[in-house]
Amino acid sequence: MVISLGFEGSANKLGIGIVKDGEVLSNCRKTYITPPGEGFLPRETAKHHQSNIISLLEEAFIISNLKPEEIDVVCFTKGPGIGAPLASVAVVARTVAQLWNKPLIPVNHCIAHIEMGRLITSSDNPTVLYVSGGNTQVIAYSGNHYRIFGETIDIAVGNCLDRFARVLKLSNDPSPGYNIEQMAKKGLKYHKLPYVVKGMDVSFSGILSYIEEKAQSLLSSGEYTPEDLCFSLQETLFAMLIETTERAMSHCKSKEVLIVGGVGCNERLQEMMKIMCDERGAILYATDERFCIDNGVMIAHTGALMYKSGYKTTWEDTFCTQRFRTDEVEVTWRP
Amino acid sequence: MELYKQGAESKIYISFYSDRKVIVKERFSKLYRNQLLDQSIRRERTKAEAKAILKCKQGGIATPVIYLLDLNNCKITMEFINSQTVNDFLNNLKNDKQYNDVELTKLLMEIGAVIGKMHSLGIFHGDLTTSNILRKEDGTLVLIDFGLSHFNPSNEDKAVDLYVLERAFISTHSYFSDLFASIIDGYKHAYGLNVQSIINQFQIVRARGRKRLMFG
Ligand SMILES: Nc1ncnc2c1ncn2[C@@H]1O[C@H](COP(=O)(O)OP(=O)(O)O)[C@@H](O)[C@H]1O
Ligand SMILES: [Mg+2]
Repeated sequence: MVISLGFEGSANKLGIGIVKDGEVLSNCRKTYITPPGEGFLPRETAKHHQSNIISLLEEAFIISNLKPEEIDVVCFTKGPGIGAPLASVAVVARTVAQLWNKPLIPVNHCIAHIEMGRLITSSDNPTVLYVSGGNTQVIAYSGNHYRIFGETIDIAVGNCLDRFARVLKLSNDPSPGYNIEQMAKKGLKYHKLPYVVKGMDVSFSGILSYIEEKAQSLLSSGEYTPEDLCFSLQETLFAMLIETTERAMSHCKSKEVLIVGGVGCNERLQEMMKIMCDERGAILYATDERFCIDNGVMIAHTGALMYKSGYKTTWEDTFCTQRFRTDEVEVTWRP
Repeated sequence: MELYKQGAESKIYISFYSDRKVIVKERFSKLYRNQLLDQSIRRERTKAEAKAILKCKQGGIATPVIYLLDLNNCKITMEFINSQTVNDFLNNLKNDKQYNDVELTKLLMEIGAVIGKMHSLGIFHGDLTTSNILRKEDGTLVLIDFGLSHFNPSNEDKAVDLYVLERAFISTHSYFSDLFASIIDGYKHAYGLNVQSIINQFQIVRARGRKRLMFG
C-alpha cells in the first residue's frame, strides 16, 4: 500500500491531492482568477500559489483524515509549466519531504493527466487527446513511451479560446473556456474560419488572428452575435482536433479514445468525439472537471506509479523545468 | 457494396467496374462537424486526391488508376490494389522471427525513394503514414490517400511530410525506430540535387517540436 501526496501548480491552478493505491482521499484546488480581459502573469500566479499552498495543504490533510506521518511519498510537478509558479510549489514539496523524511518524486504534468484519466475511466490503451491551456497533443502509447503523434504547431487550443474570451471581455470565473462554452451553446450562425490541419498537426494562431481582426466589424454590423462567434470558433477548433485524433486512431488501429486536460471537460468537444467514436465502433472515455482540470491527485497518483515501479530520484531531478516533453519520460509502470 | 475498410476519414467499399475489381472511396459526411465546414472539407479533399493521384502516375509513381470521380458525393472509384499496407507489413514482420534486416532496410530505402521522387515531382502528400503506402506481393510500393496534398511544396512542406512519417513510424513501429534513417537515405538518393536544404529543414522542424514551450 502506498499513500501519496501530490502538489501541482504549473499554471494558474494550485492543486493538492492525496491518493491511496488509486483511491482518491482528497482533491483540493484553488484557482487564480484574473479580471475580465486579462490573462494571468507568472509573478502574480506564483504569489497566489505561495499565499495559498499551506492552507490548502492543511485542508488536504483534514479532508483525508490523515497525518503527515502516514504519507509514504511526496510528489510534485517537475514540468512542463510556467517557471515561477512551478518553482514556488516545488520548493514546498522539497521542504515537506525533508521535514517528514519522505521520498520525493518529480512528475511530468502531461503524463499525470494521462495516468489520471486512465485510472478514473479504467481505459486500457487509449489514443489520448490532451487539450489544455498550454497543450494540444494527440498521443499513442508504444514501446514504453507516450508518443506524440500530432500536436499544435503554435498555440494551444485552450489558449486560443482564452484569448478570444478576452477579446469579448468574458469573465475568467470559473474559467474563460467555460464561459465560451456557455455562449457557444446559444450560437446559431456559423461563420467560416480558416481550417488548418497539416498532416497530424494543427495550427490555431492563424484562426485566432483572423477572428480577432474580424470580430469588431462582424459584431457591430449586427451580422453575428458574440454567441455565434463563440460557436463558430469552437466548431472549427474542435473539428480539427477530432480529425487528427481519428487519423491517429486509424493508423494505430485503436478502439479507445481518452480526452484529458482542462479543455477536455468541454461538453461539446466530448459530444463531437462521441459521434466520431460511435461511427468507428470505438469507445470514448472522458472525465469531469474534478480530474480534467489540473489537480494534485494526478501528480500523487502518477508519482505513486513511478515509486512502485522502483523510480529512484536523483538530485538533479528535484529541480523543475519549463520544458519537459511527454515523450521524454520512460514509462516503467506499463507493459 | 461491401465495406472493405474504414480509414482515417473515409469508408472504402469493394465493387466492380466493368468486370474489374475496384474500390470506392467515399468521404462520407461526418456528423460531428458543422455541415458547411463538412461539405467544403470533403469536396476539397476529394478533388486534391484525384489531382495528385493523376500527377503521380504521370510522373511514374505507382498510384491506383482512377475510373470515376463523383465530386458531388465525394466518391472516387479506383483500382483495387492487391496489397498490404506497409503498416500491417511491418507489424507482421515484428512477430516474424525470420525477418531479415537486409530486406527490411531495402524496403525502407524504397519507401524513402518513392517519397523523394514524389517531392521532386512537386507533390506534397500531407498525411504520409505507413498506412497510406501499400505494398504488393512483388514488393512494388503504391502511394494512396492524397486528400491533404497540394502541388509546388516549399522545403518546409517537404520537411513536414518527412516529420509526419517519422512520428507515425515511431508511434507504431517503435521496434524499428532506429531504422528510420534508412528512409532518409533512400530519400536523399531519389531526390537528387539540393536535397540537403530539405534535410536541414527537416532537422529544424524536428527541433521546433522538441523546443515548443508547454504547460497546463
Ligand atoms: N486502391 C486501393 N486498393 C486496395 N486497398 C486500398 C486502396 N485504397 C485504400 N485501400 C485500403 O483502405 C485503407 C483506407 O484508405 P485511405 O485512402 O487511406 O483512406 P483514409 O483517408 O480514410 O485513410 C488503406 O489503408 C488501405 O488499406
Ligand atoms: Mg489513410
